Amino acid sequence: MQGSFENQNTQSASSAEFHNDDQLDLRMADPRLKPYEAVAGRALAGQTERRRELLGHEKIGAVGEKLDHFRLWEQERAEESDFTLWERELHATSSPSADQTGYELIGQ
Amino acid sequence: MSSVFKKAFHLITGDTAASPALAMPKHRPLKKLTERELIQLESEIGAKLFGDIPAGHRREFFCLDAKTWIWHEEFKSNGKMESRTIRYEVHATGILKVQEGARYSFIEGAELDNLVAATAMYYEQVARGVYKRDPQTGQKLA
Repeated sequence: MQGSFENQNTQSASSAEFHNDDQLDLRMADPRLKPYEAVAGRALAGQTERRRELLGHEKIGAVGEKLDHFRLWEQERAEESDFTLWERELHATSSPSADQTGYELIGQ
Repeated sequence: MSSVFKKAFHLITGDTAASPALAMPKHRPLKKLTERELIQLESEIGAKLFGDIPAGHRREFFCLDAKTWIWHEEFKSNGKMESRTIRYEVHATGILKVQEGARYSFIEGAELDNLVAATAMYYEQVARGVYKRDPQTGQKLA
């Protein structure tokens, strides 16, 4: 269809290719564009910009959720490791190289 | 499970004061870190994302919770201590920037792009540096 932005394979200046934002910007400034194409181009540019903004805040939200999980896992891990620490402490006190394992003896 | 072992230990030894000398890690004792302490560790990384911190300045940048990011800076200007705190809130309609003096605005354009980049870098470095986890998979690093 002439002037339709659904056809993304046409290379002529009279058709619109909106799969690339850089091309979109150049085409909007192109004085050879028919009025319909310029209006459609601006509408789609608005949608593209809005979509970029939404993607931006979705990305930031996703990061925040992952960090929340890491903090929770870290705190849960610390609780579970009390048992592991106790075992390691008993092992370390019976080992001649306890001070080489990164542990120091307290109470001495 | 840890509380069960603690109870078992007390039952066996009777008195914690008589327990054998305990070995504690030298550099980072294995103790439970509060969420606040974890955020402080994260903020040490977050503050450096924006370059070196000038002498006399204090900067904090961290994720307060899943929906809130905080930027804080303090510095001396004309002999007076100045401070600025900005809160970025994640809403369904965008990122709301909340500044002192009840100023609210949704960020867009370059500021939004910069914040997205900063939070992505924050996540990468905090995942590896604080939590020792692969940022892609969330799994513990070897």
